[in-house]
Amino acid sequence: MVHSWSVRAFLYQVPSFLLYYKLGKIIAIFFYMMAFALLESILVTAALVLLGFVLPLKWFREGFPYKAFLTVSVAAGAMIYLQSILDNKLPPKETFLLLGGISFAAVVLLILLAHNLKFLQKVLLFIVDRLSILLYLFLPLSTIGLVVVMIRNFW
Amino acid sequence: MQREKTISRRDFLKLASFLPLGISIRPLLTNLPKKAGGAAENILLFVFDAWSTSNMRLYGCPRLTMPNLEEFAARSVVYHNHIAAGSFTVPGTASMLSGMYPWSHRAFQLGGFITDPHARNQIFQALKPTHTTLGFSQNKFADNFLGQADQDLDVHLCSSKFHLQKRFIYNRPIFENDSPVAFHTFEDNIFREREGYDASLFGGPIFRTTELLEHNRLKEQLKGEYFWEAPEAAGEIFRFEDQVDGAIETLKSLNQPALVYMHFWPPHAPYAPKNQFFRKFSTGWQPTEKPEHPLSISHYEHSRIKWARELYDEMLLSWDSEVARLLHFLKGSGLTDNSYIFFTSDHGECFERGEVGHWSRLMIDPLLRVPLIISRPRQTQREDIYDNTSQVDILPTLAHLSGNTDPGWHEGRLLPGMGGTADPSRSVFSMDAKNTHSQNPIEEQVSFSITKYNYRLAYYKYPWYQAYEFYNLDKDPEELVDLYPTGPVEARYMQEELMDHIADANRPYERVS
Repeated sequence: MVHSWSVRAFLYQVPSFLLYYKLGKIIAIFFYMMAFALLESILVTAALVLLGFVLPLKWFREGFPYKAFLTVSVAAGAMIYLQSILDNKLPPKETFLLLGGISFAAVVLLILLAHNLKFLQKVLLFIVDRLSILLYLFLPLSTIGLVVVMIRNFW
Repeated sequence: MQREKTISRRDFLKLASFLPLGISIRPLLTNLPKKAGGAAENILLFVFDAWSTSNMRLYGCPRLTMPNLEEFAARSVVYHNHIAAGSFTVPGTASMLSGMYPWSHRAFQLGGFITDPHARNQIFQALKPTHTTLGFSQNKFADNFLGQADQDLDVHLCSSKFHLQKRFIYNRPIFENDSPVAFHTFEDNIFREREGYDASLFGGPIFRTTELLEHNRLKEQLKGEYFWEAPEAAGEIFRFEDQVDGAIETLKSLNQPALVYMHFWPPHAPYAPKNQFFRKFSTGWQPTEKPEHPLSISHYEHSRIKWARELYDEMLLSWDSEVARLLHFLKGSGLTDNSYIFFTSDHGECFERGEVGHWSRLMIDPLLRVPLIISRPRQTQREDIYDNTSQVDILPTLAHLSGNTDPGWHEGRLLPGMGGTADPSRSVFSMDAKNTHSQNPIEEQVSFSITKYNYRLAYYKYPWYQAYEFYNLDKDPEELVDLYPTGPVEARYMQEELMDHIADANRPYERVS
């Protein structure tokens, strides 16, 4: 999810990069972004794993794949909305509270629903399974990205 | 017996033991005195961003916006017709640093760079043989050029060094070797600066929210000094005082002879007058109202333009009150006795024809005519130069004053009064091509101008407005009467000259179909 969002942003920026960069530099920027997306993905995964350890076993660790997927999806939706309203001014405190509240309620509700509906669980796990194929693309790209960042900055 | 030329494991380990020593003494090497091949005077180049002659009494504005700098000008050479090569930071600064017009260095887009064959062809390379080189820019777009010149800079100060808020990632030491790519990866991309979607799904909004909280906290903290608006450089809050203090501290530890390039954000927007100067110009002289230009981007009403200009002038006054301390230091430290001191700008600022600021397509005096004040070592009397000069003249002049050989790559001339001779027939050029690819011909959505004798010919080529405009700057300094429709012969000659230059500049970029 993190990587796909990063690729979207890269494609959005390409026309402006084309104004002053040749292909080599544009590819370098892409690898920088992939490397950053990897770090971000690791942090998000770590946060979910931590949540699994902190919460009671039944709440999160049981059925971790679909529960984590639901949590990340709702959080991503909330973050995309936050990105859309952030300007050079901070939105009012109430907006943050409302967004946080709605997101939390949505996560709890969806997890409860999926917990009780086996069909929904199956659908979610099917999606997770299909999305996991992207790992074969993004992980190597991110690894190359890390190498590119290191070579360009330390050699 | 022939000795083997291989390095043994033992030799390698012995050599490796010197590595930490080598790394630790590297910073000290930059402080070693340089050999001065010619004159040993320092060159101190101070750039104030978005600073126009139209707002200084020295150049004819009725408001006294910079009294301290004008006092300094009384013992300096004042250039009255110094023309910027572009109307915003990227083309203007690149021309000043490289001595080339934008059509040659190709940095004319927001965030653009001097293209590869010329990337290091800057003042720092030209003066490196004789001078210690130091570069600092509060403006991140100008800082990009310093990043390109890193190999020729003995000291490159971080653009956020004297800011209260430090939000940029690209200027962190870890990206020192690759700051241009880091710049376009992080700034306004992984983390957006204003509106828009960050490339970082979770980190982006979290980072922006914390930065906005810090931004608001600092703004609140500065209310006692800056009631109207706190100064900020592309989102980073700073105080005028800290910039000047930082500059003074930097100059105190200068390894002379030195070339110092210091590019300050003020008086660039947001216009942030200090409390004691706020509303200082609300009464008295008021600027002329001019009709909106068909290419205006802002479309502001005159009352709003007037208000913005008032704030800008009050910001100039506020900035000048701090610059006074810098001027005092320069005198007290003896730097005025052994340095050429330049005060100039990368481009002007406009408050007319519907426009506020410099994000404009217009080729008019407030945007193009910038201050240039140069104090020679021990100069005691003012000199005035009225010939047309250009930003591209700075590089050859610096090379000449520092005793270095002319680097040859530039398109400028020696400034009159600094080794050059006056030439009233000289043409100087400006252009704007924000939307053009650096490797394409400059053809569509472009503005050009040629200034010669007392005339300016502007050429605009946009899908919705294509025209030449011709003004007599002597008789009509406000550029209100377009003489082009009357068909003056001067306009025809200047048009031919401009078109020849554009054709020459475009030739290497034309594709054979």
